[in-house]
Amino acid sequence: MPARLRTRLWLACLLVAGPAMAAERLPFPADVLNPPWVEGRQLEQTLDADSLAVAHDLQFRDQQPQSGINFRHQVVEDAGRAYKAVHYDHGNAVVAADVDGDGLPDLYFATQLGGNALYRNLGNGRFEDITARAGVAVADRVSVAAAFADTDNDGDPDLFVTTVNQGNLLFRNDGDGKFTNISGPAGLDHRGHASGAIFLDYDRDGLLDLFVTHVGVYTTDKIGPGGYRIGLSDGFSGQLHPDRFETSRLYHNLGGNRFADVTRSAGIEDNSWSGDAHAADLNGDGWPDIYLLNMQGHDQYFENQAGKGFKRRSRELFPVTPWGSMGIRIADFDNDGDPDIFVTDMHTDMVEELPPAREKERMPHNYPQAFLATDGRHMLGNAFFRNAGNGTFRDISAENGAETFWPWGLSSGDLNADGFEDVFITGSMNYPFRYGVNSLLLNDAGKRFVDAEYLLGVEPRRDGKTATPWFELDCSGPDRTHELCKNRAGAVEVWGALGSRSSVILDLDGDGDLDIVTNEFGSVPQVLVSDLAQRRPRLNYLAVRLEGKKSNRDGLGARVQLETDRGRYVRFADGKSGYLGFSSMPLYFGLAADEKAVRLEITWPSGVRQSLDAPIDTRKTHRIVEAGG
Amino acid sequence: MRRGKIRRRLPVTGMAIALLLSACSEPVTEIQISGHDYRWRMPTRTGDVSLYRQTGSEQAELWLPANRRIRLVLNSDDFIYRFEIPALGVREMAVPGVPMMAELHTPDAGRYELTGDGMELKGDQMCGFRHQSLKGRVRIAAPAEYRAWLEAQGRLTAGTGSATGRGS
Repeated sequence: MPARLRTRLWLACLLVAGPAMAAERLPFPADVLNPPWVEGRQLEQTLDADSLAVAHDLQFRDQQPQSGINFRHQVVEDAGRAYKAVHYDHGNAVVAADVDGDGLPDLYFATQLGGNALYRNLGNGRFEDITARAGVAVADRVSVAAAFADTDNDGDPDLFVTTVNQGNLLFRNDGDGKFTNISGPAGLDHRGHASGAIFLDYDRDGLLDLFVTHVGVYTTDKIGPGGYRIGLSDGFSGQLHPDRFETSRLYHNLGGNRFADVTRSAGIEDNSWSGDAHAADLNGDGWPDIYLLNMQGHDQYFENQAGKGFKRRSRELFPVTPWGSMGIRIADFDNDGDPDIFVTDMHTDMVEELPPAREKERMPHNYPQAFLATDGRHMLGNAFFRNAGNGTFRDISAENGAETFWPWGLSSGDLNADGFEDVFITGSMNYPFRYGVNSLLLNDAGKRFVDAEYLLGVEPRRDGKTATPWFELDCSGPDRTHELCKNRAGAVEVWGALGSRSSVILDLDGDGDLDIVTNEFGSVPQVLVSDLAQRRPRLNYLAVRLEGKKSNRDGLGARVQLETDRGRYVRFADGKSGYLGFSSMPLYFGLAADEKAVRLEITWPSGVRQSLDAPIDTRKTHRIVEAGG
Repeated sequence: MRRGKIRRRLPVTGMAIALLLSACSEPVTEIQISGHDYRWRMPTRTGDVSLYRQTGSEQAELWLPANRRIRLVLNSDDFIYRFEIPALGVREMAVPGVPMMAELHTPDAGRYELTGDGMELKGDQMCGFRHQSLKGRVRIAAPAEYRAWLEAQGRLTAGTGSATGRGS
């Protein structure tokens, strides 16, 4: 048969058979493409807007298509066609740091399959992919968390990445946009079910130490497509199986990018099913303590013993915690000068599915006691521990609007520049669940949080999307026994709900207001750019970038206090930027109507106290170098 | 005054103890329930009893004897399941390798059969992936009727082999 005729026949076949071969679109659950409650929720927030006292004169717009960020998070099959309830659905980090020293924050996205991605900030909200030349793709492993910090005090951020039982990684920043994998020599290549990673200088020797949380064994030895270890079918009962426990690990920085595991000697051995942790000086003694989350049990609190180790004081100070803690942010939310604790609880929200209209309610009951495997003293949702200032904390989450549904983790930042830290909480469970929103909680003068995701353009998502193609099935072929192929034939394209996991709040376009970037689960990021600076041409803010000398170079552990004629604001340099994320970024102070700052006071982790007095320029980033270095 | 109070309390305390002793001495009927591939089954000495009609019903039907102290022993062969009978105050989990127990006292038989209504059996895989086949009804039967049902299930099991198979 002549080639021309063959081509024509092929084209004719395609024309005839093409429509018949088109995959059936199967939304799962059925209303995931068009949830009936979205419109009502939007209307509710919009109608309430006029009565709000908290500033809300800003809008976010998802600029991902224009940003140059084309990264797409890819999930393992356990979260797709072979779905099972296992910890893979916890997703991955997005983190920020100025990796090339040009003064602009760059972004790093982690994924389960397909390779992580590093994007260089070109300015004006544009980014370019520099993953290949930076050498940080980690495409052969299933990543989880990421952390930027200057581990060798050479002035540039290094990168630590955790993986699912494939060995963690430390990349040294060589200062020219390239990174070198030094995991083995650094002593940080431990294999386990690692999750969140935070840097802190627990002994205040000027070198950043590392704390890595471990979930516990939730995988088998079987390898699935893409090289991931297939998850256990009963992963969420791990708290009942001591043989699956893994200890979170504290690594002491010995200098020269060498670390030693000091978990046992420092008295911080703990087998919680921990996905993340946060360091903060919670008792005000000048030493960073650690609040460790437990996603299947009680949270733990380890009090720093003047750098010599840690003492567990969990139940003493926090007798009631969530059972399913997932994300944490510690900040001075009420501007009284001390750190408060906001914990998001995902797993309690899995007890049963609350209908959308009841999402702000607590779960009516918990799991059976035998399954909890604790003393049963848990709040049934997010916790907000207000620091009473006398070394004690009181949960006020039932009063201040901190509850959200299906939350992963949170980021905080003064999004409306009124002087109070607002909160962005990632949410939604993706396939096979209904759509869940990301929450934006505006901080109303430290008294309560106001739901504003629909009011400020975070929801609905761009083009009103709530779902995305999740996987395909051949119901006439190898997938005919799949549950979703029942009574179906041919190609089926299953659509699942969209959902975010990690987030970072930063001024990505340098205009003075704070923007939000997410890492989605199985989709492209959201690049939510704020228009606050455009709406308020004389936006009052000030940012501070610390440079330690005697202290660690990032100044982690520093307390920075800014005074204006009308207020006093405190920010803590702790690096925690979102769920599974740890970033290196300036501290941001919104100043409301105050055009002038009268005093800036820094208490460095070395103990050095340093201050700047008026005139202090606002609307700029101040680089503060530790005195006496 | 104090003595009088004690006198008044004594009969109540005595009744409570008597009730407690009675409850403790009441024989317990232990029933195994196990989750397997998104379905419930009852492992017995003679074989697995399916909670699904042999005609392939997707709704489970759990039979329980009336007026009995029942101990449900819950297990799972694979996933983590929720097992609930809200009307009887049962809320438990079925977890592989870790038996969970729930005790209840069943009400009169026929009370529900008269209306043709049973009690709701709720169940799903933890984390909310709902499977219709994990839901169903609880039927409270008179002891003789319960025994007959159980024997019939046993005969079916003996005749047809395992009753747990499921094509999903």
